[in-house]
Amino acid sequence: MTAFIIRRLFLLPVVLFGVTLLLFTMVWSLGSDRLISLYISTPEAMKSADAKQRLIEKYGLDQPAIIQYGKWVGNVLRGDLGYSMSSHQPVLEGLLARLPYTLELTIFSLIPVIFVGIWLGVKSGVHHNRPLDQGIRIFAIVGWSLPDFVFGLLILMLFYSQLGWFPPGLYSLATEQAMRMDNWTHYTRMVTFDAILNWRWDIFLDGIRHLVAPVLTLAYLWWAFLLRVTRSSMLDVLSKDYIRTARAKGLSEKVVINKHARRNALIPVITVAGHMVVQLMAGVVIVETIFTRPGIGTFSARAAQQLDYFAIIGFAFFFSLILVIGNLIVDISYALIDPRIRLS
Amino acid sequence: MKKQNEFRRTLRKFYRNPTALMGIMLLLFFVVIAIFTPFIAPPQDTSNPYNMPRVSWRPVPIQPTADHPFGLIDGKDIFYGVVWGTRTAFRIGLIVSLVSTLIGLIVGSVAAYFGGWLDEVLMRITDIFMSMPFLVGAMVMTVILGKGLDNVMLALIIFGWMQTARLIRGNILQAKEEQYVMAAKALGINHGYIILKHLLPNTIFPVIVQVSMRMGSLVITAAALSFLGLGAEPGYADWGTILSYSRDYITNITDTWFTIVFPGVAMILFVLAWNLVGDALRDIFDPKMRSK
Amino acid sequence: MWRKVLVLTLAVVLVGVAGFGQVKNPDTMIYLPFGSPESLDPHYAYDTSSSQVIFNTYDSLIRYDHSRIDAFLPMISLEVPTVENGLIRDGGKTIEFPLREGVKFHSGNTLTPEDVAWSIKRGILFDRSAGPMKLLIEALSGAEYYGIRDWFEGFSGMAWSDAVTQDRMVKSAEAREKLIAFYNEVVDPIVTVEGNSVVFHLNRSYGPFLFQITHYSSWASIIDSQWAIANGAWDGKADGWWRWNDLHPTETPLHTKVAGSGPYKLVEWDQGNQRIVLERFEDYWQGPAPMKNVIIWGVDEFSTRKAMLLAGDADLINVPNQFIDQFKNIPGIRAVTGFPLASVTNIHMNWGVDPVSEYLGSGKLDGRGIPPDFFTDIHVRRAIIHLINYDAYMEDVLSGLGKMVPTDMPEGYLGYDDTLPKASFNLALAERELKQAWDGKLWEVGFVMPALYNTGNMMRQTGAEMLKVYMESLNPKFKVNVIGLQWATYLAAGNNNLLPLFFIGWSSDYPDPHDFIFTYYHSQGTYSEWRGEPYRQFLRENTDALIEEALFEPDFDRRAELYRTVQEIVIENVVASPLYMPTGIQVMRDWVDGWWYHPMRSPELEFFFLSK
Repeated sequence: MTAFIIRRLFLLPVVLFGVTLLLFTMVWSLGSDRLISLYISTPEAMKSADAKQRLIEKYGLDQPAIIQYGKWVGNVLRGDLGYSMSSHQPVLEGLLARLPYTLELTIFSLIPVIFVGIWLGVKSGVHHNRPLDQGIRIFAIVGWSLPDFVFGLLILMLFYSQLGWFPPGLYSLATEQAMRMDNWTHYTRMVTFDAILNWRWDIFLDGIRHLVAPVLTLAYLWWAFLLRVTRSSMLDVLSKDYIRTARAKGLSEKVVINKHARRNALIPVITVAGHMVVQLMAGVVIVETIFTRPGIGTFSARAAQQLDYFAIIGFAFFFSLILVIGNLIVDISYALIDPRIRLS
Repeated sequence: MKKQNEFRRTLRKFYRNPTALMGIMLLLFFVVIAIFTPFIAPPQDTSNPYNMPRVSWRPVPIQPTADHPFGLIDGKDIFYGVVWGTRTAFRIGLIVSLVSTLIGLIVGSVAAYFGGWLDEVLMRITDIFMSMPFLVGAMVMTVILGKGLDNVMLALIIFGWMQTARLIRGNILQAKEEQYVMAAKALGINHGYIILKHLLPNTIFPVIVQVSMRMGSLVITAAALSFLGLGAEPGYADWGTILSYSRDYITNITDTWFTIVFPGVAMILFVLAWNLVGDALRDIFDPKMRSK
Repeated sequence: MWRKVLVLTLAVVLVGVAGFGQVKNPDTMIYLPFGSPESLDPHYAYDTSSSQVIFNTYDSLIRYDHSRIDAFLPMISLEVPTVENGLIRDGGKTIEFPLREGVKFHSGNTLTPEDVAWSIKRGILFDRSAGPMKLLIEALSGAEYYGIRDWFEGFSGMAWSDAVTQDRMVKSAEAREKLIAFYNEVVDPIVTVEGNSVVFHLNRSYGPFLFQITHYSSWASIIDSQWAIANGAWDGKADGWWRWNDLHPTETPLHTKVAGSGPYKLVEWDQGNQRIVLERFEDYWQGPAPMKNVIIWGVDEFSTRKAMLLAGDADLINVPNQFIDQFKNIPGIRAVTGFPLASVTNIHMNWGVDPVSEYLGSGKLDGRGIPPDFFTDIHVRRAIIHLINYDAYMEDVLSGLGKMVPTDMPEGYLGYDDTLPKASFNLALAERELKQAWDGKLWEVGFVMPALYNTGNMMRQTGAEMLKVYMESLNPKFKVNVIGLQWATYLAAGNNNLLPLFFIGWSSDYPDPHDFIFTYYHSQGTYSEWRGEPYRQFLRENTDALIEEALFEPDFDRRAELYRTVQEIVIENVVASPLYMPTGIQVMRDWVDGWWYHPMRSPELEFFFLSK
């Protein structure tokens, strides 16, 4: 077990190094002419003859990728991820400021995804190939087939434009003003959790109100995924010998399902769910864009679109870190729960 | 003999499954459209039929008429775009799936078969690509390479082979301990032959399922990239591109519904078809199901 | 799941209900633009999102008179300097601004002439690469220099890189001496304090000088020097000033904080949320603003902005021109259109493309490409400007929000003359011209020509497509390839002389004809660099001298005449090929009062005048 953990941790620098180097060389290969667009964005800015040259020197755009990458690594070891021109603040600061918002969205999306996905998956597995199963599967597959950006926009139009229930953004004006008052302390920077810790239920509800639409959009995509996994795991378990034994012993179907089958079926599901959380964080770009929620999704999208190389590799660094550590935690818990699993 | 019966049994299971049938019908529908595309929507410029012809100088959505049954957006005929978009969808799906699956198969089977340090190195490389945030990687690639469907496909291929590699590696790791493989190795049979003829055919079914599921999600991902401004060239006959125009008119949806409905439904049905087929294939190929 | 949604919805509806039609948020004005500020430092920022915040939180010496671009009102200055009131003297070389007394900064400090002097000097010493200070430096140096480093080099004979390292440390005692001398002899005397006035000393009369220090130009902001110095900005001394040259955004205290005297104070800049919160400055010298709070929230998705406006959660929003039709006849919404904007979009024809360009096709007149000097033939140029259906373009493509102009200069500028001939849509004329082009050879052989635009810009793309449609309709041997490039690639390619025919525009930094005429029709103008050596040669022979004369001419009428002459020359020789001047659009709730447009400011807003 410890050997496994150590091996995985050794993986971390390899991955971080590999990901960031790959992205950096890709971007840097564009040459100073393209890279300079990050600093000069209009023809008007090119009025003075030496503007371009000065910028190239200032930021070392004509130096080889390896040297600039080396400088970046040196800075990272000192805790400096560089400055993001696309977000107008240092990269680390930008990421840390936005992480809570993405986290909040992800956590709240997990609730419907897990509960609905698992509940429906179990039901589907139990009633295998019967109309209920078919129905649930179609429902899930349709969900998996809808393009999320269209769905999100439609949700926004329906629930905000037409009904006025769920506005875009993180919180309302009133909440924002309340958060600037002295009796408010920022704990996690997540609106809902901070509201609870500050004992402000009205703000909590305001936060929830702004979460419903994006959560709906994010969730409907993913519960199809979890549903499928649960279902097939359930089917797997139901065909096992010990289930047949339980039935032969005369136990009621309900007990068989609830006590024996489900618990064991959920084991692989947990792994998948764990991995899914990390993937969710990668996929929030669309939802964050449509619902105007700042998060690491919009940060990375903006950085990519503007070739903001520090922000790009800073984000990739960050994300890979989360991914590898996240996967490690999930795999460890999986191994702890089911000792039969070989960790190779 | 055994293989033929197995195959027939598989087919029969397919026919009996209503969702699978629905999937196949939908797929056939799209295939027919893709084949007869130039007749359904004759191109103006035969050297570049994927460029939606401009019919009006006005960029706003224009209601459907007899001449343009799906309406106009950005001065272009949506019907033309949806029909030719079928071919684009197949192109994206097939090319990206096949190429990335091929890469994944090679990497995964070589890693699993030979093991040792080769396995380590290949798996580390796989890990690196898997740890790359996909959307950022794809966006950076399209920014670097420029807009255009070919570049989008390249980006999707480069960041899409890893799942296949891992999957086939896992399966081959198990399969290579089998007796017949050991025997073949002992007999000195060529490694490549063993992989191709013995290992892959028995381990490839989950990959086939994966390919089917990915066909649909690739089209959605390509559309998402168009939505983020990094997809096909503007004016290209591609469902995602048409949808990305609609986002600015969505507040007047009663007047502009056709900009979303037609390309949207096309995309949903296409993806649905592949997902249904893939789901059915999964059920059929699942060894735990076979005994039933 | 749906059960949960329903319960939650009921709870939410009970908690917060919106009244339809009533003025929402009566103390707060909410504006939703696109994007967010790059920096709040007035000498760093060169984008509209930043100036939006800066000119609401800082004051300048003078301002424009309402919507006019040719008349001023005093702001921090007591009077607008003119020749008549004696504040402009010595043939335009001395300009005095007597200052208002009792003006307070947000910090509580009083505004003195020293603050003005410090602000100007700090700005030109700061001069960040590709920043806004070149305009002021150009004005103050009599158009000799565009950057402080060049100015230093010109004065001392020593190159900047020989004097100062990349980390802004001085390299030698000699360098230090020269740098200090430069400050004492060149920079310091430019702006002096005499009594309660600030006086500028230029070495040449500069026509557009007053525009450079007028409100809306963020670099003309007057900064609270005491606060700034106390927080790490340039200490005002000659020794060591180079350490504050070309700083990185995080190195200036003014990047995220405001040290101004304007009607609004900065409360918060939430970069993650793209949100700026401003609060009324009660001690503003003109009296407190009507609205207590202002929120500027950058919402990038247009449909979301529109939805918020319709719901009353926003009072004003940014609307790209092509969506104007969506705002006609909506109750509660007011849409104002048709006012002139300070920019022009045009078709560029490059007279001397770099032969390595990939857009030339075969590079020869053989029907499979175009030669690098393709556009030196006036018949080709004349044909092209007559191949755009301008009426359809203005009506359909621009939704009516554009006007034809005779040359690459917007309406209302000094020297603008609407009676000058404008291009028109004339297929017959185009055909005649093309038949004469290249001694008749062109019509026989044909060509393959690119028409380039930057992706995402629908107007330019449609312009290119229009050219293609009409050009190809004349002769089957004519082929036009419409090519879209990403903005960064586009700028780089244009700058490197690689683009043969392309669509681009120019936005005004200040409302003086020099900004446009120089850019397009002087051999050292930015766009002349993009049009090849033969083009520049033509300009040197025909227009350069006139433009230079106009720049330093103190008499306005004489200036107008000179610019008119230049325009006549460029029209006759088809050197000018404007496509359109955009007209503006402003969309707001009808409960918003006090809005008026200004070509230099719109679509940004001056909140001091707005109320609900």
